[in-house]
Amino acid sequence: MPRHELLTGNEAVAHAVAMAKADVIGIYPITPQTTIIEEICNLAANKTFSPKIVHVESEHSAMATIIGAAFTGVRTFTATSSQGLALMHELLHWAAGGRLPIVLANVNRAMAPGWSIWTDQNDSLSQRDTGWMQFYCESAQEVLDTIFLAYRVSEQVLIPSMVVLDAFVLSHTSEPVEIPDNETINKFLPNFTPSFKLDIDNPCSFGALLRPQFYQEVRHKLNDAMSEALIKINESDKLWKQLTGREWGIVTEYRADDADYLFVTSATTASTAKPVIDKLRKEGLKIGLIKIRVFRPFPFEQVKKYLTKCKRAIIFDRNISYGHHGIFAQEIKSALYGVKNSPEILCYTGGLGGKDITPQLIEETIIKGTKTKLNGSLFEWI
Amino acid sequence: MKNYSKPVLDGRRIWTTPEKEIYSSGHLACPGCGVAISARTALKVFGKKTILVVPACCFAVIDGPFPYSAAGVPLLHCAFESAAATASGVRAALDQMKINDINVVAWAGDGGTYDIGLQALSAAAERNENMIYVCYDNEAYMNTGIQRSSATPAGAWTTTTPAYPGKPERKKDLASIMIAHKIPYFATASISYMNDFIDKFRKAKDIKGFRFIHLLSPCAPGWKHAESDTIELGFLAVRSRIFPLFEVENNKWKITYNPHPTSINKYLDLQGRFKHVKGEDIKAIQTEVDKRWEELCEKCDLPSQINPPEQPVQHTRNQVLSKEQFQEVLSKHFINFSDNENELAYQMLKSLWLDKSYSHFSDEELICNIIARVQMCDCT
Amino acid sequence: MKNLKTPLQQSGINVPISGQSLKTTAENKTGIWRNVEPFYLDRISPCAQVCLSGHDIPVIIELVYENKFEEALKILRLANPLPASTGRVCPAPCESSCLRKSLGGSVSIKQIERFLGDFAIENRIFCLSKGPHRGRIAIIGAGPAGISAAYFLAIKGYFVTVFEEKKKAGGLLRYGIPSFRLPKRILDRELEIVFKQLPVEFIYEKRITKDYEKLLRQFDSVIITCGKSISQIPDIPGAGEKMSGLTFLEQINNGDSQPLSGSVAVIGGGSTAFDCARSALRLGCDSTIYYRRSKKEMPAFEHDITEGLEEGIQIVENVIPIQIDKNGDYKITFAKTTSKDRKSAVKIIPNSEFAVTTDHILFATGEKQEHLFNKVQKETGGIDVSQTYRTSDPKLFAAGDVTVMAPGTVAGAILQGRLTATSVHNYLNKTTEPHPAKIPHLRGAKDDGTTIEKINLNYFQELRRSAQKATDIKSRLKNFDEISSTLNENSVAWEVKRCFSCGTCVYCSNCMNYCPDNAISFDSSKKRFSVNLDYCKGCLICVKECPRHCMGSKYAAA
Ligand SMILES: Cc1cc2nc3c(=O)[nH]c(=O)nc-3n(C[C@H](O)[C@H](O)[C@H](O)COP(=O)(O)OP(=O)(O)OC[C@H]3O[C@@H](n4cnc5c(N)ncnc54)[C@H](O)[C@@H]3O)c2cc1C
Ligand SMILES: Cc1ncc(C[n+]2csc(CCOP(=O)(O)OP(=O)(O)O)c2C)c(N)n1
Ligand code: SF4
Ligand code: SF4
Ligand code: SF4
Ligand SMILES: [Mg+2]
Repeated sequence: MPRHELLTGNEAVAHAVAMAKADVIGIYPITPQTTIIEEICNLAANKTFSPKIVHVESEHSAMATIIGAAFTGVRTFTATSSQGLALMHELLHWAAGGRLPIVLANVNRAMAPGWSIWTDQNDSLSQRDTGWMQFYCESAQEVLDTIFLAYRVSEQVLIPSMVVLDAFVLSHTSEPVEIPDNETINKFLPNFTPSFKLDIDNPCSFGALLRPQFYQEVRHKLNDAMSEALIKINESDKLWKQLTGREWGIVTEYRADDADYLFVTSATTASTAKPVIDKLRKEGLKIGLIKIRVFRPFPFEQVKKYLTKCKRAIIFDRNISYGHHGIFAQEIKSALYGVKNSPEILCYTGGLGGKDITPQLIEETIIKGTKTKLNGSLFEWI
Repeated sequence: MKNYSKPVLDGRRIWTTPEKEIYSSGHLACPGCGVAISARTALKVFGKKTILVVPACCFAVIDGPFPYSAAGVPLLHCAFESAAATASGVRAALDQMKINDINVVAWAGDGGTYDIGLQALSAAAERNENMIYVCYDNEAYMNTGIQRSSATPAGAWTTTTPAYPGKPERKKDLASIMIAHKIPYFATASISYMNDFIDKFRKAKDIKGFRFIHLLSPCAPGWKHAESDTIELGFLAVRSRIFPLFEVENNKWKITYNPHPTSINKYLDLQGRFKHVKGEDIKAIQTEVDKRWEELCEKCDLPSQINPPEQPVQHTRNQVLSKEQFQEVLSKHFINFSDNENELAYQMLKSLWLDKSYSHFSDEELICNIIARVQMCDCT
Repeated sequence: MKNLKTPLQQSGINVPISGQSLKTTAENKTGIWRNVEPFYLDRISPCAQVCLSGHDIPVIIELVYENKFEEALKILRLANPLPASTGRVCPAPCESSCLRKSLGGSVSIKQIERFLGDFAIENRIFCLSKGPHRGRIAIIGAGPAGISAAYFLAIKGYFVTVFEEKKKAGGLLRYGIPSFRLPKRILDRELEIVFKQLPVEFIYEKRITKDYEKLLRQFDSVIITCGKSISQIPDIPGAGEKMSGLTFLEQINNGDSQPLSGSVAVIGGGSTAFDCARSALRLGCDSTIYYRRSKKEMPAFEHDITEGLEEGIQIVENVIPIQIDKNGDYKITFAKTTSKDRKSAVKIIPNSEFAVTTDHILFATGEKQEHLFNKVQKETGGIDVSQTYRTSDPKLFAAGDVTVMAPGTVAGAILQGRLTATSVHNYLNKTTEPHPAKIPHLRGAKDDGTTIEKINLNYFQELRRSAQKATDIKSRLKNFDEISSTLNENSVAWEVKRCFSCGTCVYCSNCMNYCPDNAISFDSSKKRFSVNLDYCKGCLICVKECPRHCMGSKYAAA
């Protein structure tokens, strides 16, 4: 029987990791992630699960350690934010290139300088091309469920997963969460049996020099596996629905069916946006909401499916690629290139470094987005 | 534990490795590479139940490109700076799987150890991770083509210290750094002193916790020496005290080979990277070497004897050593005899000690003589 | 799922997703990198090079090192049936050229030989004939050369008859060299273990002279090994046959000697002179040696001189006797001389005469061959022989001091005896084997010698030579007992440990273990190392790190 608890997003991560019985966990503190590892230590201390927690000296080593562990054939985990994730950068490539089913929770936090501990997505999106799957979550429940899904899919396609949650609004905000029972988890997430590992009975080397005739081959396979991942995510989501009644989709919609306008966003901004959509609908605006949950692998088909139905897409990014514009917006645009019935696209970036995204702000953005006369592409700061 | 050192160098039973060969031919080391010999020998000691973790360094190339690996044991290539952390992860995973008969060995260059990997290394040492960290020190970044590292000795030419007088700064004292972590075992070793090398690897293998072995590893292209001089340079480095052989076990320092010192000139002469080093520069290097040796001796509770007399002082023997005293002498020679062997050795001592025909032997030589004889007997 | 095959996969090559390496590097033949190539080559050690009877010393020492005394003896006997004797009397040039000299003193090679000789005697390890039995050989003279020839022919299966004019075999070993250097008991027992089981017949007290031609008809082959038996007494007034040093020694060795008293003047500077002087000391006299050249030009062996001086012999250098007067005791008139070296004649200093009175005089001024074999021997001097010890008569051979190649040492006579035996064998079997090898060994060809520079001293520490135990001087002079004792097993163990085994592989495995490329392997059935040229990169570490110079290198285009 599932039970219900009041959990913050970070606690939800910790509980899910415990239930997934991660074996080796590298830990290093950084606000706002710290409470994840604290909670993990608590759960381990009270024997909820018995991982090997390695108290490393940096996020870099946290990742290196779990890479070592994953190569040895066990389930691994670490969590970080912003500066820590950036420090891991080289090793994120190493994890993906090594085809290790590592799961990492990243609590979105803005990058320094100008120290900030508050949320935005530039830290995780900077790691877009490292070969990791990225899941952007909206609620503590979603976070909990996504950790299980991440392990399941990662271990199926052998690509690491990054489960991303917003600082404070999600990481430190308590919500009622339904925690499935162990039986359900066991059904959903079988024990990890690695298809390759450091094995004294079958000694081989991992990560040796790949000459030009082989390198691209291996990367090609990684990319193929990303495509496969999308299918596996979908399958897993269906199974999860069977088991728990919940599904999270890849791209989700809210009142988008008959919408002329679509507000496209990700993570907790979507939660804030829903009442605004309701309000504007009541006021007669045919507006809907699209939330992009899986950013890597990028869901081209789903994005196309929803966005070709509307006249105009108003994309709200909590991130920026300097010299260009919001990153989700770029990706959506590229997905729609040359597609028939592509909508007009307006790109807005706001909420950086924890700048509050209020319903009013979203409403203003939508109104602005519906009214602006479009002449080519549009990018504006909110 | 059986100690394998032989006190008498008779050029015959130089080696004592019965273990099977694991390392494969066909690897990519340069001709005469010191690392290849070290790895080959170390693997013999470690055996098949070993996992190697190797950061970017020459050895990563030596082991072979895809689809080859010379190691003969599982080998994980890792990021340059992350050997100690990655190896920690391997150990953590093994622990989780309740496997405890596998040696986890990080095998890294000086760059990956002294420089970029020092942080992870220090942390792993502090956590007393159950691994053996071997730094093969070829005193520069060789993989990338001979750039200076903090292990490069003063005076050495590298491509990034091309102008006279070579590298101006002295070599980082990594030993002190590592020992300050109070790890269970620290040792320096050289393949030239192979028995000492093997002893230390065996010892390290048997100890739990963080073990660090520092190897001086001559590199023909990097040091600009003849390929055949690899072993000779090890001998010279140890004998000139540029690279003393010692170990620190549970905070006890011990010089494992106390050479009669030779000057550093021959060591420098054999290497093109020191070609420009002359006169005053040599003196400065010698002063530094002497200073470090004295410091080391102090830590080992030994009289330093920068220039000990050429011949051991001879004296007339009168009283036969007591059994206890004899035991003490034996242990100074790193000898660990069985009871039978001990008894035999002592009997021999008693019969030879006052024998006139051995009066021209120093005490030391006579004891070596006895040890040699006992080692030839089958006392089991 | 859709077709997700990569181009390489489509062409059948599967690269694992994580790029893991599954094969060893053995496929990668690094031998093509090489431009120099190592090879194995044993070399003749400096000691063996000068060994008078051609022992493969390091091989023997190695076997002793391994405690395989019997095997060591076997190798030793390939060259020398009398190690207990030579191990006592040989001047041991091997030790003078031993490379260990600078690192604690040369190896006691001679003592090891003596130890093995005594070991054979004590354990009664007989020499055996290999057969098949064929041919009959006559040997004239049972000195070292004759004994050696008889032994080497007998083990090959020949029936040998040795004719000896004296009562017992041994030649100068028995009748020249005194017991305090070589006890008769040792000689007897050594001869016993050598010949007891061999098809050799000794016919004693049979002096062969003109009748050797009869032997030539009766036997398939004849070897003359009569040595030099005539004392050369200088032609000066008052000198005579009864002053022969050799005769004096023979008497002593026969046990016919009487106690002497007073002073003895021994004229000469060779072994005979010292043995006479030292024997006289033991009979109770004061001995003085008078020599026409200086001490350092003496032909005596070093051990003769040092031990003689130790025992109290006086030496007067650069004097030559010109007249002897007998008047109760003797008065010898000497002239003083100057000398340059051993070869050029001495110059008498005019008007330098002085007289010495003495109770006895012994001449030890050299020995010469008797003229017995006119067809093959010139009027004066030795028998002319070829390199293969053959005389002008194809059936007749000669070896030892009787020939013009007179070795002048026991071990040298033994070598000649051995080489002659091979020549006889070749002659009888009509084989044209080349000149027989000086050093018989079991391990294929050897190159030239080695030097101390080629020994890798990193593998050896200074170890001092063991002292040999000797009776103290005073008690020595009381009798003719042997003055030195054989090294005990422990000291021999120490001595063999000190040997570098120059040029002889002792399977230390250093080459194999130091090869960075794992390119050297050991074939234990053949007891041989070999370089795997598929992988050898030509670094030559193996060559350099062989402690004892058993490897070499050559340029080699891969
Ligand atoms: C006093 C002395 C000390 C020496 N000390 C040493 C030493 O310390 N070390 C060393 O290496 N060398 C020494 N030598 C030299 C060495 O002894 C000889 O070189 C060696 O013995 C020569 O051996 P051979 O067999 O040729 O002759 P010999 O030893 O002379 O043997 C010849 C044999 O032939 C016999 N014989 C002779 N004529 C006839 C005949 N017509 N018919 C039958 N039998 C005959 C003799 O009786 C004798 O037994 C010494 C020599 C002397 C004289
Ligand atoms: C983060 C990072 N920086 C730089 C490099 C390039 N690099 C590879 S090996 C190497 C030098 C290795 O030197 P060392 O550790 O001394 O080993 P050696 O090659 O001398 O055996 C460098 C600089 C790298 N691989 N990773
Ligand atoms: S060291 Fe041994 S092999 Fe070399 S010369 Fe001396 S005895 Fe002969
Ligand atoms: S040590 Fe090995 S690679 Fe080097 S020359 Fe000798 S056999 Fe060849
Ligand atoms: S190194 Fe040792 S095994 Fe190799 S050739 Fe030389 S003696 Fe023989
Ligand atoms: Mg280096």
